[in-house]
Amino acid sequence: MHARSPLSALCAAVLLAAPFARASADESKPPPRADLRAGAPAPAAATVGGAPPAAAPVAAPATTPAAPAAVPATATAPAAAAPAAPAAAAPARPSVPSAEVSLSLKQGDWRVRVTIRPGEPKPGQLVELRLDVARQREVPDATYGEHVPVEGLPLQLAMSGPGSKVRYYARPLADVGSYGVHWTPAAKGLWTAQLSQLPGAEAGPQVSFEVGVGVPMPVSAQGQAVQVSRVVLGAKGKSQNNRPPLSPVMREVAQRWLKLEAAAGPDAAAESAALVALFKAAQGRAPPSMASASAEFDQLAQSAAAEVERVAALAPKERGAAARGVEASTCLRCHLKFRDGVVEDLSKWPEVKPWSR
Amino acid sequence: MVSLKRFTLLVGAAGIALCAAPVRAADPLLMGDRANAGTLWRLHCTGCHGDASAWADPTPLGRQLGARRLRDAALLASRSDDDLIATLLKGGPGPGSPALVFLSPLDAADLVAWLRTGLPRVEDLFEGASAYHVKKYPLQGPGLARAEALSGVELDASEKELSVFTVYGTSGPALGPKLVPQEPVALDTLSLKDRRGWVVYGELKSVKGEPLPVALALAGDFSVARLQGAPGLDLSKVAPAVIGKGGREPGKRKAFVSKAAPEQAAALTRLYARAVEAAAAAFKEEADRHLFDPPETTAKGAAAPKQ
Repeated sequence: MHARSPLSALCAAVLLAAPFARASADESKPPPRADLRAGAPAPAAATVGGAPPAAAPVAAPATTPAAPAAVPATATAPAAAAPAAPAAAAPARPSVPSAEVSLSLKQGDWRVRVTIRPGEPKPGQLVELRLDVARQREVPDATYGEHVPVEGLPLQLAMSGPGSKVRYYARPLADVGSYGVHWTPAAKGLWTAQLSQLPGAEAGPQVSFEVGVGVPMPVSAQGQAVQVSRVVLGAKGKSQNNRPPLSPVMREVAQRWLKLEAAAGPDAAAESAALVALFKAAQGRAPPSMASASAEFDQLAQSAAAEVERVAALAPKERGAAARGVEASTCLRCHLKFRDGVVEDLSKWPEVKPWSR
Repeated sequence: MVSLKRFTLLVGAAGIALCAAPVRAADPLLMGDRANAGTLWRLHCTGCHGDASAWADPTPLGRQLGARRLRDAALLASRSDDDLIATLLKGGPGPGSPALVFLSPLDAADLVAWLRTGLPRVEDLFEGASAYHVKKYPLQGPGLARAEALSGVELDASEKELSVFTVYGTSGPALGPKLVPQEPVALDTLSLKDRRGWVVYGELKSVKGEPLPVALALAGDFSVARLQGAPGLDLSKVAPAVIGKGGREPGKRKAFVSKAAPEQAAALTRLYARAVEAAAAAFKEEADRHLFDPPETTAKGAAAPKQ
C-alpha cells in the first residue's frame, strides 16, 4: 500500500476535472431471440422480438469549462490557440491523457496485474481493463524469471455494483499472458470486479478488486498496491516540435464531436472552438504518402471546421441529424482518401471508385 | 372432488412446465462492450455499411466500393471472432475494404460482438454443440429440379447455392462451438457419431417488410428440428406448420401450409427445399470422407445421427 505523492495527487486532481464523453448503454441483457424447438408447443413468448442493438446514445454530461487560469497548457491542447469562438465561448478544457491505475493481486501462486484506463472512470465512459496473468515459479524461468505469463486461459470478469451485473469474456491480447476487457459502467459508485475462469475450465486465478466509477478509486484493499501514473502537464522551455501527431488530434476530434452533439450553450461554443482549432492544427499534415494531395487535405480540414461551426450554431435537438450529415459527407470523404486510402479521386463525389493499387 | 383433482393436475402441469422452461443465465457472458461498438460503428462504418441497428444494406456509396451487408447471419457464423477481428484490423479482400489500423484489438472485438448480437447462432439451434464446419454447396441437376419442384417456383441465381453448417457434439464449451476449418486433417477430428444435424440461414420478411435473418435446423433424418429468427420476427404462427415436418423419404417432403402465415410458410418451404438438397450433399461428402473408417466409429453414427 502506497500513499499518493503530492505530485500524483495534483495530477489526479487535475485529471479528475478532465472532460470525458463516451456513449452509454445498458448492456446487461441481450435482446431476446425468437426461439422455437421441435416437440415443444410454439408459445407466443418464444417469438418475442427485442430491439436490435441500437447505436449507443450519446449522453455526455454538459460541463462548464473550468477557469482558464486553472488549465495548464499542454502539447495536446491546441484549444489554447483557438480563435475567438462564437457566443462568448469559454475555452474548452484541454484533453489530457488520463492517468491509469494498476493493481497487483495474488492468489496462491497466481499473480495478476490489473491496469485500469482511465484511472478515474465515469459512468457511460469506456474503461479498458488489462489483466496480465502469471504464475510464480519456485525455480525462475530462463525467459520470464519468477513470474511466468500464462496464456490460453478462458477467463471472465464479472462486474457487480450499483448497476446491473455484467459478465465479460476476458479476451486474450497480443502479449503473452495478457487479457483485456472493455467495460462501460452504467452507474456511479463502487464496483467489484471478479476475475475467474469460465465454467468448465480447469484452472485460473480467482481474484477480485474494486473500481470506483465517478467516486474515488479505493486506495487499498487486501494486498493491493495502487499507483497513479504521472502525466507531464506542463514544462518550461520550448519544444523542438510542438505539433502533436495527427492520430491523437483526430482521436480528440472524435471525442469532442460526440460531446458537441449533446452540449448546450457555452459548452457547445467551447467544443466548437476547440474543434475548429483541432482542424486548423490538422492542416498541412496530410499523410506523407499523399503529400501531393496536401492542398485537398487542407481544404477538407477547412470545410470540416466550417461545418463544425454550422452544427454548433443549431439547437441541440437539431444537431444529431446535422452531425450525421456531416459525418456522411465531409468526414467520410477525407477518411476514405486520406485515412483508409480506398479512394483516390474525390472530384466526382458522391461517385467514387475503389483505388486499385 | 373432481375439481380438486383438476386443480392438482393443473398445479402439476404448471410445475412441469416451469421445470421444462429453458434456464437463462441472469448475467450472460458478453463478448464485447456494446456502447463502445455503437460509437465506433457510427464514426467509422455507417458511411459505407449503413445503420447496423436496422439490418440495413450498404449505402449507395458503400456499394460502389464493394461494401456488403455485415449483419449477415451466415457470413458471421462462418467466421471465428479471431478471423473477423483480423479482417477489421488488416482489411478485407477487396480494394474498397480498409484496414482499420487505428482501432485496438479490443475495439475490433467490441464491433464483432455487437454485429453478432441478435443473430441466430449455431449453439442456439443445437444446444451444447461443441464444433461445426461450414461449406457452400451449389444446387444443380436433379437436386435443383427437386428443390424447384418442392418450392413450386424457379429459384433465383442467388438461391442456387447455400452454406450448410454441419454441427457436432454435446459437450458445449463455454465460449460456444468451435468452427472447424475446411481442412482434411481438421475435419478428420469430427466423428460421424457426434453429428447432430445441419443449420442453414435464410431471410424472412418482418411485419414491416424488412428482410430479417432466420435459421433452420435439420435433424439427422432431414426433418426440421428447430426454427429461430432475429428479434422482430414473429415465427409463432408459422412454427407449427414447419417444426418436425419434412424428412428423408420423398413422401415426407411437402410444402409447408399455414393459414395464419401463408407467406412465411411459402418462404420457409423455399428455404427448406434448398436446405435439404444442400444438406444431402454435405451428408454424402461426409460419408465419402469416412468411407474407410473402422465400422465401430461410423456405422451407428451414419445410420442414426443424434438429435
